[in-house]
Amino acid sequence: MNLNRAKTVLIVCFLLLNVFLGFQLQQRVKGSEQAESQDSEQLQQLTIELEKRGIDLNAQLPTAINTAAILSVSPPVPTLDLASDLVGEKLIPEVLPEGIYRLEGSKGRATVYQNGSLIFIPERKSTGITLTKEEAQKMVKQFLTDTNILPADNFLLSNKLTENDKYKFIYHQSFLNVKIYSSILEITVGPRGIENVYFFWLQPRGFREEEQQLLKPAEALLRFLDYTDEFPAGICIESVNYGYYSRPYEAQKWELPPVWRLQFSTGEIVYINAYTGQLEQYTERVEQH
Amino acid sequence: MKETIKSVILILLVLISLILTYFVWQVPLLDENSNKKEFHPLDSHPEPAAERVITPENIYLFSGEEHFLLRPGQNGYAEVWSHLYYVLRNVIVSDGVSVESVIEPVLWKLEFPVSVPIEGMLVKDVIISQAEEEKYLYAVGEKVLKFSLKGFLLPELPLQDYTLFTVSEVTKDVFTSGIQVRDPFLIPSDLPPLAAITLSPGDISLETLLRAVFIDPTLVRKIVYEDDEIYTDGGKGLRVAPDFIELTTTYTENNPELLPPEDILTQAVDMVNLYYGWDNDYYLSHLELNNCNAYGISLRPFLDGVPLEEDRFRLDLSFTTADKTEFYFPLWQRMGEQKTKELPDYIEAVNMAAGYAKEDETLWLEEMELVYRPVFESAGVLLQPMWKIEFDTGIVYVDGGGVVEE
Repeated sequence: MNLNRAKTVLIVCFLLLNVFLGFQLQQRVKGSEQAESQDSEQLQQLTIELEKRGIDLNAQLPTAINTAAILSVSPPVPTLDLASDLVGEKLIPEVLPEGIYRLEGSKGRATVYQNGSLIFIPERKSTGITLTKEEAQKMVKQFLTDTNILPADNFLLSNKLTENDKYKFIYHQSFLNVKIYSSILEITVGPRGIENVYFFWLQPRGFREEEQQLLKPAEALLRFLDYTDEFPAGICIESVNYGYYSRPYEAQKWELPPVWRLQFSTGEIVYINAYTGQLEQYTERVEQH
Repeated sequence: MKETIKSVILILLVLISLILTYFVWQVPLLDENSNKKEFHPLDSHPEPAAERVITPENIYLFSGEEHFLLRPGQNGYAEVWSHLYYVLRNVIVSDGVSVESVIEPVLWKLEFPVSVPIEGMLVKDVIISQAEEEKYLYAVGEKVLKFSLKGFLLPELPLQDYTLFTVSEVTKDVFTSGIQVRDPFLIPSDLPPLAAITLSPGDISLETLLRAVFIDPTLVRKIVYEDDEIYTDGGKGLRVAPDFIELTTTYTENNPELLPPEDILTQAVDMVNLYYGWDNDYYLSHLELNNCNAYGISLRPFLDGVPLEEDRFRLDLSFTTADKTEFYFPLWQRMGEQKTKELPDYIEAVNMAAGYAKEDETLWLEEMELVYRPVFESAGVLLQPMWKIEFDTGIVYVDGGGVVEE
């Protein structure tokens, strides 16, 4: 008798609980549908705005990333030893104003800046012919093996033929599966072999505990279009990627925000803060450093 | 049979509740309030009165042959300015006549060290003239406007508390021979008892400051330098040092409009109120639209009515019409007072300074005033009261111990 009554009470309780859970679920589904409809509205609006400005979007907008935490980094470790290795001799560096060091050896000239960045210009030996992409790749591979300059936590972003028959090999840093676009190794290869090496590699310290909601790439793009007036005719967005970026500082440590990285067909790269939609950097690759 | 049905229903209900719980857990709840974020002002500071915000750091008054320098902290300065502001505000809204020059005999000429924005006009000088029984006010800015002063009373100047420093004083041979005075001016007849003041870097809660500056401090990232830190969300940058904060805001709107100077000042006051709080000891010392199309505004601090002599204590605001605002707020707090040697009277001070600055040719005494001059120590700052004596050849400071060697 008591068990029967207990079952009745439990049935009533679970019935009420299910009604409550059902209501909660309905509210959440409704909210989720609203968000989806907002996303699709934003996409439609983005298409209209891009068309209005004559910009083509030849890239997939990432959809899988919704939240992220700020990443803490330290500046690159002093690269004087690396510079000595590159120039081929252990030399006492020439000290220039603003904490700049210069070394000149048999293999070329290296300049180390106060923020830890390094530029190496090898002694030029003309090959006399325009290199093919495979030859340039082979040359870069040999250079990386000889100098050991490329850290293990890297990924190759591009090895494109630029104007003037030169190839640019661009490597960035990868930390716990996210791309750090602030860290860069850029090797320029021309008909005379490797012409220029730029190296700036941060030391990642870890993420903040709390993750924050990110703007959808479409919303970030719309905000970018809002405060950018003119674009060259026929310009196209070639890629939209997710990663971390801030300009380098001459500080003891700093933090990088998550960004949406837009690459245009003109070579321009735009970093949009994925939290706020603010422009972190809008520059041509060659001017970045 | 009934028991079995009840058991089946109960099991079904338990299963349904488990499934529903799983789905509720999976589908995130959209928080509609999550976007409703706002700034949290540092404190609830009362809005300062309009005439207080634009109170200039001094007024030069020319009356006949006499030349007066009126300063905050001097007896009656606030009342004189308040009265003058009332008169100016009321006459400027009436129809003024644009004129080339003043034609009536001049009673007073008032010069401000900074163009003061009043009712849409930047006023640099005010001239009061009189023809027969009628008095007129000329407001001199980019143009000269003439107004009738019918129905307005002029402020009474509290000149009884001051000694007129005139050319005749010099001829009385009280000064070392060879000192000349270009214009007569006023100095306080009785020196106020001034103590040295100790300051220490201001104590400000970083968390509260971040909540006041950034709409969502969780999205703000930190850049650590040796001496200070910068916080930024990509749009605003806040530099926090032990003795100052500096805020830079970048607007993202296209083509923001050039605001009139009064609106710029109102905006400046709002910003200062939000982040810092309006300090009663700050007075307008600079307001200018520079070549880069930016308004530069500076406010100078006064302690016990005596101005501070160092730029780092000034409150600087810059509004660029195109994209930027910049604020510099010094962060110091008054800790206490220290006894210091009594200052010499003005005649003795001028003689000491002249002895120090003596050159072969005649020294022209341009001006002298009481100031607080900072001495920076490891624990903080000591503000020493001094005479600042300006000759045509340079500035000499005299404190209770004599001339301060540079």
